[in-house]
Amino acid sequence: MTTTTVETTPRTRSQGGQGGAVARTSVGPVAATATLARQKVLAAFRSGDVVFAVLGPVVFFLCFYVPLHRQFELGGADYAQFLTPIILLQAGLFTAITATESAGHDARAGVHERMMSLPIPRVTPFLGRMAWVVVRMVLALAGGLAIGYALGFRFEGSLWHTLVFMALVVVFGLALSMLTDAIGTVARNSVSIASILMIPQLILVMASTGLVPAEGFPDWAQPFVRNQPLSVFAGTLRELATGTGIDLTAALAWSAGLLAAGGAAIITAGRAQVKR
Amino acid sequence: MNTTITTPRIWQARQTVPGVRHSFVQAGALLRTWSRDPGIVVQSLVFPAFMLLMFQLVLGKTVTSMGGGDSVYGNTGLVALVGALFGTLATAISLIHERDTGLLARMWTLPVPRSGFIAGRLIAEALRTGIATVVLFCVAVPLGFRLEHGIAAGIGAVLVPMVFAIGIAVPVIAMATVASGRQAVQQLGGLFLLLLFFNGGFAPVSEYPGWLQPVVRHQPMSPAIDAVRGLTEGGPVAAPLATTVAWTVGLVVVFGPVAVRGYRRAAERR
Repeated sequence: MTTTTVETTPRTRSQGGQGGAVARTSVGPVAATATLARQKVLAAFRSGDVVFAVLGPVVFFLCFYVPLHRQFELGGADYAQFLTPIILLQAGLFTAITATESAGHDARAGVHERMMSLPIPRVTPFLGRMAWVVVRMVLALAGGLAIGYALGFRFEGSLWHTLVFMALVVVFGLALSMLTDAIGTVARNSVSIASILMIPQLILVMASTGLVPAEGFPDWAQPFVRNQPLSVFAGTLRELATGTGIDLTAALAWSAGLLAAGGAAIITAGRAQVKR
Repeated sequence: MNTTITTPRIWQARQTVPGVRHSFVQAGALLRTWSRDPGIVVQSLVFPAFMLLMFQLVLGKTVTSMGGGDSVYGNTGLVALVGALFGTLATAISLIHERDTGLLARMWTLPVPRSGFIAGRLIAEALRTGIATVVLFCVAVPLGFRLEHGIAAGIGAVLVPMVFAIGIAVPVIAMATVASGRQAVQQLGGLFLLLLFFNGGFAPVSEYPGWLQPVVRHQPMSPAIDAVRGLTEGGPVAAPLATTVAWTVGLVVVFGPVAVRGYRRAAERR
């Protein structure tokens, strides 16, 4: 089933040195990553995670849209346009939570040890997992934008605005997944970690300007609600979707910060892994 | 211990573990196991508490203004049931783990009435939900939740999610033990998510599109929420309570045989 891990090894050369201590030809980072990524994606197809990636945003969109849109649209705004960004960002959070479990599974099942014995660059298992994260985010974008479009979401800006919109969503999911991948790699019980991560997920999504405007919150909560990262991202995504009043500074700063934190976490987790 | 062993009497004695006592021993063992599993504690105690706080913070004002009473009562009932739903899923995962490690098979060889295994599990689910509901009521009090009709009605309000939990646990055990399980449990999670948003506690039924309103009104959570609301804030109690009991009886009748067969298969597989 998963035996196809690294078949790209050039057979002829590696078999040439039987008896001698030579001829372990290392596999290049691109080939190794491609193989590992393909394996992750195929595993996701088999486990049905692909279906969750696409349908997750659709289900959440309907869950919030159907009961709440009438009340919201009394003010004359369009709720699908308002809601789509937070649904896509929430898909990013869920992708990150899935990444914890996936990395934890690899760490427990001895996949890491087997990888370490292969002549591939150390980072490639991580890159393979992150390749799946990117694919999952694209699938989530497809699902979320499809249901959003069906109920009234529109890109009104230029093509560039649309591309930046999509890139921001993917970067958000990727950066968070780097963090949680590192946590899952190091933690002993990653399934429990994943269920605990549902709580910050809930708080960040609900207490943001993604579902209702900041004015709907009590005064004491408003500073947090306005400035937490999901509100910042949701606001920027909305501006990009309408193509007016765009200010990328805060979202880009958050992206850079999250990517940097994710990178640092991955390096730390990688070091801990090598020491074993 | 040190009485002389004259053969058949000890065999006799081994055969008569009463079913009721065994059920409660089994339930106690499960509750202790669950209390040590952070996944289950989070899903059934901590997550619902945060969910209630968030629902009230974000949607409390809006939903109250839609009419249909103070939203904290509807939300508390709703979230108590959500704790039952997702807690049951978490215990189903631990059931699959017990099957895969062979624990179920070892227990199956004990000289106890086998009906006690499932009975104990259902008792444990009900008690877990009851404890979680009491905790949730305590969290809800600072948000404006009161037992307007006294302690007796309040105890009734705790019993409603417990009855509901038994009805939900039976199909979940069936799904978890038939075939490989994990996949089915995940899909139930998706279904429960829909139940969570499409009911009369999240928003008044009138907010949903007309063709969907009968589904929203009659799905198992809505009457249970109405019953909790009736027993705490006020309103009709008898009809929603009867509907909740009817749902539970229906689920047990329909999925009970599947659950029993599935549990037997899970225990005998090794």
